[in-house]
Amino acid sequence: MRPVRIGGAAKFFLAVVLLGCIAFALGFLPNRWQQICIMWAIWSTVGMSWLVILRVGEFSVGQAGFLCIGGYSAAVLMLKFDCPFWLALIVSAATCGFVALVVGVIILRLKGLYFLVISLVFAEIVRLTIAASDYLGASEGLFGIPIPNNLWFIKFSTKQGWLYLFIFILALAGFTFRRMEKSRIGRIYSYIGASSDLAQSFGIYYMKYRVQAFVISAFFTGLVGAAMGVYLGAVGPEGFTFYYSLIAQIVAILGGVGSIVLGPLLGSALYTVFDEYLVYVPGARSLIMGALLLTVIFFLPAGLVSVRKKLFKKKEQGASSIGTD
Amino acid sequence: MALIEITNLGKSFGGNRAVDGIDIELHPGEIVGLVGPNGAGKSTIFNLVTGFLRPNSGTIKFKGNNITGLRPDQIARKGIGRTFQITLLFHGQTVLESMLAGHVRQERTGFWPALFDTSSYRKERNQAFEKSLDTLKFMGLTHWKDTLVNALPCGLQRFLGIAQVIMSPVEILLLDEPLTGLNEEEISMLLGKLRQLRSQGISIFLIEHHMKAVMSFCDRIIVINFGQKIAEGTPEQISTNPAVIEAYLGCKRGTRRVP
Repeated sequence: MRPVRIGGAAKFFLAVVLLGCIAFALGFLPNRWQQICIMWAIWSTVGMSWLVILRVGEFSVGQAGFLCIGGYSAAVLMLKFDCPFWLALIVSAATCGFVALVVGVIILRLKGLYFLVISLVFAEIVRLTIAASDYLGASEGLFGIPIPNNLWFIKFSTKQGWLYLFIFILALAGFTFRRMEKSRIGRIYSYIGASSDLAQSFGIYYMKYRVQAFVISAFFTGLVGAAMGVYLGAVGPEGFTFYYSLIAQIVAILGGVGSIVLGPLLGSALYTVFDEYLVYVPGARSLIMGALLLTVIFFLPAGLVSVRKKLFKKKEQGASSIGTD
Repeated sequence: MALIEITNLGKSFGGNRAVDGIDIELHPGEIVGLVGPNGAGKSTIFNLVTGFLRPNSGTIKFKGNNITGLRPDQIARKGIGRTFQITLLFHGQTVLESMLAGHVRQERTGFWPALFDTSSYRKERNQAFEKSLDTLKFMGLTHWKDTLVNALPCGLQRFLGIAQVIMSPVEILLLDEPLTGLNEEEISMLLGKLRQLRSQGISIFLIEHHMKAVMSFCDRIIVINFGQKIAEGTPEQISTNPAVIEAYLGCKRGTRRVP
């Protein structure tokens, strides 16, 4: 019998329907697991965004800065300008993209350790500037952000509604990043990441793509930051510390940096579940989390995505992965 | 008209004058060798011409247009291809994937068509694939197309470097020690490929220490030492030039060294 062949568009449609059903079902989990799923979606998206910058060869520790800008933009727009929620989300993400464009043109001239340090400095400058601004609530932050209106069956007064929103953002980011990775764009990023000199000698203007990657990364991080701010109902400078930047890297490295979508999804799942249940061991929380990280990095240096290969001792295929989409 | 015209080129690193007032002219279809002892400034000249370094003085013209001070990618887009002395590779990618890098500058579809996989993007992608396969076949690398570049034998990495450059139309190839790490058989194979490229109208400007190959391969040889041109001419003229012999072998006992 001839095997049934499914076309690209049909396959895509099937995947959307299937994932949509799974996402819908997640909304009927117990409250606590819904909370875990929300955090999972948030950190997956931020982890993926972090990986985009890693693709052009830079190790950013400034993701908290963009979460912060996103969160504060949404808070200001909704509190001080009575802006509708959806518009606030988009404008906040675009603001992050614009900030990344201006800042990126300057700081992406630095490479390696220098970039790492300046991205950290950028995030801290953002946080401290906000903490010093009376308009933005100084060190107390902004609170009392109104709950958005319901959208069809999605109620933002319940966890379920937020879960759907964060999963939608995750799906949007996942789709974009996967398409980028599979296309010319991702290929050019990895050329620049591997050797910017060689890429330049082929006529590739590497600054353009470095800034592009930085802006895309900031856009999605800002989108998550904005949604997070409204979800929590308050934003404060103490919320967006260096630790937030670290989580982005933790989930991406736990999951495996080789895979831009699956890696952060797996890493974030492990991280958020542990993070939630370790509240029962308050003293040993950081200790256990550290041990978990070390174990994974030691036994699975390529991250959780490599676990299947490791278990079944499958031989790595040398076949090219491009053009298979 | 000269293809590349370098006048009074100068570059200093601190107090060290690496290139000191060099004039070079390259004509279409020529194979020119650039030789000189280690540290003479050969690679610096290449880096200046391809924009990886900015000269302190002098001008570089390509087909009559001033290209001094342009960025490396702008110069590459004009049709000046180069390879590097240290073999640079896109680590972690297969040979075929890294070949596609050479095609990027001809591709016109932007961000959105690539993201949504439109038909114009697919067409361009297929063109790039076909061109890669053709070029790999020409360089004799077809068998290795799915190998990771870092797993490729050292000599073949040099072949790959040239294959990547000729993915897009180039008028001149600047090869920085292309024969290093190759055995005699591979050398004659590579020189054969380069002659074929020359017959397609690509000029070649190369730095090389392998004297036998340089003497048999080049139409013209330029010798530099301490950043200055000390001789220029056909291989026969160079091999009997006293200044060249002195630079390479030192001077006779008793005679004064030229400062």
